[in-house]
Amino acid sequence: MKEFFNALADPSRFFLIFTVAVFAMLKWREFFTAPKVALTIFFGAVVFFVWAIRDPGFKANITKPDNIPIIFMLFLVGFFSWLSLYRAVKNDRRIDRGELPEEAVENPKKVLTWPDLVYSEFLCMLIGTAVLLIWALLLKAPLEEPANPNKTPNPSKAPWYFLGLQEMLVYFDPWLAGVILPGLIVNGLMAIPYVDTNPKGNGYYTFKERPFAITSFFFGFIVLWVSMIILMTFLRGPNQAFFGPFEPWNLHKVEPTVNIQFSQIFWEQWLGTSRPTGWFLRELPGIALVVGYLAITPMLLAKTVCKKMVAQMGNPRYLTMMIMFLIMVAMPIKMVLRWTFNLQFIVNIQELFLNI
Amino acid sequence: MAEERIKDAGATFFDVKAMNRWFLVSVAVLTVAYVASVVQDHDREFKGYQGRFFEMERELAVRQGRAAFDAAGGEKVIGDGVDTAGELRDEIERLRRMRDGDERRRPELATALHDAQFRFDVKNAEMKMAKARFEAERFIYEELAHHLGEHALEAPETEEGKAAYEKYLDLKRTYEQLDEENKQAESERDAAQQALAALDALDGDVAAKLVALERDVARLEKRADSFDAERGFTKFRNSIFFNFMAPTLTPRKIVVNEILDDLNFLSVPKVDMCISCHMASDRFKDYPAGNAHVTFGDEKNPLLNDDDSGAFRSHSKPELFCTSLSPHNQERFGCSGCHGGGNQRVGFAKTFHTPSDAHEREVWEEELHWHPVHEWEYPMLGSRFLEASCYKCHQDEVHIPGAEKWNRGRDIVSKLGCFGCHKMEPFDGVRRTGPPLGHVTSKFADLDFMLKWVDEPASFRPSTPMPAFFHRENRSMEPGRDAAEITALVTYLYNLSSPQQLKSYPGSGDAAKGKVLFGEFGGVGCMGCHGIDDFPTDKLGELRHGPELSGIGSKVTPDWLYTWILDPKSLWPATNMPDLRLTEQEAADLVAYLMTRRNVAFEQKSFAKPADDAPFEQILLEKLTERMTAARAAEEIAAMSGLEKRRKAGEYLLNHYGCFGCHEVPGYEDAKPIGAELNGWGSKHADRLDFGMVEFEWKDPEVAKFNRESWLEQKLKNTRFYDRGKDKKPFEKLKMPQFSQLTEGMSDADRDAVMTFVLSLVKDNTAPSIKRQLTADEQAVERGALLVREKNCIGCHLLYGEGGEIRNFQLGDEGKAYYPPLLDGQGARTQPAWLTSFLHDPVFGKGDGAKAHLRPWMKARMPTFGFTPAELNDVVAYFAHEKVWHTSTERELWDTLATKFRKDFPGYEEAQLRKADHTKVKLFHDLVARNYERQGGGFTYESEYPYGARPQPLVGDDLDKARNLFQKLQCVLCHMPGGVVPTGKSPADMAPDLSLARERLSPNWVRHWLEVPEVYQPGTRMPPFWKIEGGVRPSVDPDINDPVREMDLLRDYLFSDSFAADYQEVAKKARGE
Repeated sequence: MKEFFNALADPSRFFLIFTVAVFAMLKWREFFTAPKVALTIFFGAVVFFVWAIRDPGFKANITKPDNIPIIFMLFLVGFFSWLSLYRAVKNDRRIDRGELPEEAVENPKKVLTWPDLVYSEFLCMLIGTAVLLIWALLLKAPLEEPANPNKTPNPSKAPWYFLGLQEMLVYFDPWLAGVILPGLIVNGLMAIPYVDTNPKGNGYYTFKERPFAITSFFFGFIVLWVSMIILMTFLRGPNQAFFGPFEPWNLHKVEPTVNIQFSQIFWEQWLGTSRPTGWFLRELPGIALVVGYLAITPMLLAKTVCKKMVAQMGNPRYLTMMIMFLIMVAMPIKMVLRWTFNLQFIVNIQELFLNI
Repeated sequence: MAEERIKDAGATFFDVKAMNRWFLVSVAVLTVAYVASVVQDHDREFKGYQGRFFEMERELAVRQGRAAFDAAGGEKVIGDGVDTAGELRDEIERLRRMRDGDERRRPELATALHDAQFRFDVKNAEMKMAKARFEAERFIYEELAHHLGEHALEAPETEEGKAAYEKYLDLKRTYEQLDEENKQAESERDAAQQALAALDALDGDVAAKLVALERDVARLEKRADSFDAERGFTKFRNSIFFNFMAPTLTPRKIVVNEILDDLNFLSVPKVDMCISCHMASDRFKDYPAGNAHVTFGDEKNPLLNDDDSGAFRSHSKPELFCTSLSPHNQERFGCSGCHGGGNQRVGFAKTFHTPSDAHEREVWEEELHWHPVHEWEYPMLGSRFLEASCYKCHQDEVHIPGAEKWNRGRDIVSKLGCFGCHKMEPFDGVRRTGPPLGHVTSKFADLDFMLKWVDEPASFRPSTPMPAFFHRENRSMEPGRDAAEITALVTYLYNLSSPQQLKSYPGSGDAAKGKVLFGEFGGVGCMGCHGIDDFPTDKLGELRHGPELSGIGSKVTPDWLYTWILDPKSLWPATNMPDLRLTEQEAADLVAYLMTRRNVAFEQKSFAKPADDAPFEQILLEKLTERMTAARAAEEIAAMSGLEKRRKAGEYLLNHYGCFGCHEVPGYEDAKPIGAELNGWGSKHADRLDFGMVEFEWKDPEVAKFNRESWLEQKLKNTRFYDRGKDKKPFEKLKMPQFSQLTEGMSDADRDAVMTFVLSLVKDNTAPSIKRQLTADEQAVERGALLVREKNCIGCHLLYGEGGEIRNFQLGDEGKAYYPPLLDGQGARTQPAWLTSFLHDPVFGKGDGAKAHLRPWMKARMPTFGFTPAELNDVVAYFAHEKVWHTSTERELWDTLATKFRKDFPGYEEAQLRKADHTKVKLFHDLVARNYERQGGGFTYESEYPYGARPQPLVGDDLDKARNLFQKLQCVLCHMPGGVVPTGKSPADMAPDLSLARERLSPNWVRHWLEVPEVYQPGTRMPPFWKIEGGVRPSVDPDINDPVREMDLLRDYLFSDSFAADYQEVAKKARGE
């Protein structure tokens, strides 16, 4: 049983399972959001934890004061995902029947600043403070030894909320994973109100009216962010090697890692010649691929699948959205390439320290 | 919109009442959480310790007050009540009452005095008036009598005269009467005065007592109060919420500015908070010493019970640590500088207490909630390795006084030559341990010897420091590999070896004589360093200074041995083997004897060399393919002859195993040692150590199990252990050889000592100011101390209880006669100039071919070591600059301090000290010397040459007296010139030739020696002529009848010009010539 879970936790499998699960949840949302099913899943998770925590290693990993908020977060994310989908499903049914969404019926009028807004916020503040205090009393801040530049902790991990970013470093060059992509994430999030002018779903839950937007969100947040946090926290051990949840963290575990560049695949494997010596010619296929991906794909899509979308949004909004979207999708693409072909970089210009 | 809002005014989305309830609940929860946080902050581990400590302190204060009161002669018997202060107050009351009772008598006495004074004054005035009148009348009468021509004043003849005389007499009588009465009044007044003064005196006494008692009471009350947790104010101060002001239960700290913590980005002073719980650490007079390993229930503090933790114990070495008088006082040195562990924090587990063993760990886990914490790379050193910390500051000392384990570790490391491969600071520049390998072909009788030797050194000589490289567990995979490697190595060494010019052994030796020379009563001295199976002792088979010589006949050629014995330095210039000045015949006898000592089992052992070249080719292939293709390597190998293959493989292997670390190998003189540098190893992070496949405990490696100590212990027990379960190429495998002395199953003490030494090599984090800085003199002393060990003076001589190994062979009473002299206080005994010349050449050539020896009857000879002038200076400085009582110039001061020290710190009693380890003796001397110097005491070597009172030239009567004394005491019977044994005396009775005394001995020492020889040399046969008996120092010569004078005379006589001639005369007479 433990071996089975260990095997599932292999990063490619883990990622695949997570992706499939998220899409399945969206696809068969009516089934999954039924309270009985959701409760069954919840209890299933609880039973798993109760069973697994008897393993000393699993317990040590889960109960580390660092990791406890992440466990909380897992359950919270699960709960709120369920809640939103549950209500969306309900609303979709009402809309299908031609009724107004629940939220519109529940409270058609405006609410008062006092007491409805300020008082409730104040209550939240009080409860939040109390919870933080009690938490701090029960779980001591995990202090570590004085920082030593010659002896970094192994594994060296970012704060838990940045672990998704750190995981990206495995697949991208630091300038991309550490600078460009986080920048794009922030800018992309800021751009959403301007890109997404669709008024549907404002103030009420729905899925049917916004399938693309919500699917993108679930994929980007749950799969690319939360799952990476889980992966980094619980499954990466010393030397950033992967360990199953029930596998001892042995310092000496060695993972076979080989780095292959796209230029090697293109020139040596496909064309059967040695790589050109000049970097431009050598990396030309890679550059073409990247430029093609970012420049040509949006156009192709605009002419085919996304015709309706272009018409609705207009070209500037469409292009902005699509480039952001493609960059987001580049992440799983690169991960898959890495796992399947050991591909390190598509463009690898060491001469300019430019790697993509 | 507006209408809608108006319509809905008053209605809210949320239920306000419910929100109010939620508000109530959340405020309640928040308040509880806040209170809980304050409570948790208030509940600290150290408060329990401090509370209990103060409880004991209070009780102690009370008891001590009572004891002090009793000692001060308190008249009232005090019961066993706790309230000493109260009882003292009763005593005060009693004294006051006594004083008041006296006071009541005062008015009466004062009146009496007043009256008496009045009476006296009146009488005195009357008397003075009468006296004046009488004197005036006397003049008148005398003048009249003269005028009248009277013959006698008492019997006037004229009438006029008679009348005048009557008047005069009348006045005289009145005066005399009044004078008498005046005297009476005066004495009465004096008596009254005395009565009052007596009252005053009594009063003053009582008053002084009262003042003292009142002060005592105040002090006791204050002290007891300050510890009194039951007092309302104390309770308030320590109560929750209010203890931020001035609590009595509070963390306490020592800031150690001179020992730093390396926080990687900066070094910060240590802030030790240990004393927050260990509050009794420096209170060795009140609290029993020790730690958790010592059982409780000592007498010192009867309040301490079994439930109290080790925190209330005082330091077990108060003379050295913690106390204000010790060299390492707590205020300056703190705790964690030596003990390690976490500073700037309190709490048992949090401060990284480290259990010494599994049992202690269990107890701690159960009773003290101990758990491994790994936030700090320098947890406390278990008590096993505590001495490792001494080296931090005592870096220039060969032996650190008191650090017995570390010293032992240093000695073992030095003997085993660990520094050959592992660079370590204390051994920088020390010569290689093993013999040179440049001429092995001339040395060995059998060329196979070396093969068998390298194969398994212990099979030839179990005590050898040569470690075993082969037949180790990580080599078992390749049968025949060991044989191939050994063959290759030895072939290469033989190839490097060049022949050496040897004297040829004449063959005329007599083995029986050789045996006597070698070992009878310790022999000529060989046994001081070497053991042999013919003369077994407990130490046979242990690592000694020189190799054990059992079986030597199977090893070397007679020619080599003959040359070596006659002149060791001709074969190995750096050897420590001294020259015993043997004649050629003696050398031949010894060779004859030693050649009979064969190790037959070893000789019969055969060594199977590989039959073909294949294993050598394999070795070469492995090495060559590191830098070329297998095909190219095979070509190169094919081009070599069989011998070349062996040599080349041997060369690779020699570099691989680093033989040149311990042995001089031609061409490898400057080769770098192959092992990991051990400087700073004691600070090495545990996760930089390869624990191999030793099963890791899940994700949370237990610090106590996976620390550097445990790694090192396992490594020494089995140097190849961490290769277990690993697949490696032969040249990648662990190659550290196994030292049989440290192997698993051998003495734990030795291994612990070596570990302590290695752990002591830490990254330096101490300020120069706190390190032991040696003066130029002290540095010379340390260099000398090293030489004394390297040259093994202590193989023959006993030095403060250390060494004297040769005595193991000088058995029985007869053997005692041949004991080499003690070296205790050698520097105080002899003059440095003489000692220098003696060490340079122990035989005093008299120019006429005859040789004079100091102790000619001895069998063991003082060897000629061939010291360089610098070395001579160092050795002499070592002896001369010792800070021991022998060299103190003020014996009385020294003795007083030593007595006080012994009283303060039991455990240094004379008898105990004699039996103790020599380092404890040294420690005792060092500590007393420290106090001695502080009190202004001086040492002999600091005074002017010839170090002590310069003997006066004897003249006239004194010379005769001294001469007579010398004859009376029959000194010459033992101190025979030339060491000739007189008839009826045995060599055991002999004593040194006194004709050397003048240039040899220190006059100061001679004087002390005559006084108490036994104290200077325990077991000496010198009779204590002037020993104090029954508090009286006897005189031996009735002509002088003054013991001090006698001793002075005798001393001066020895140093006088006429002594030399007299001495020969007396000796002749004594011999009956």
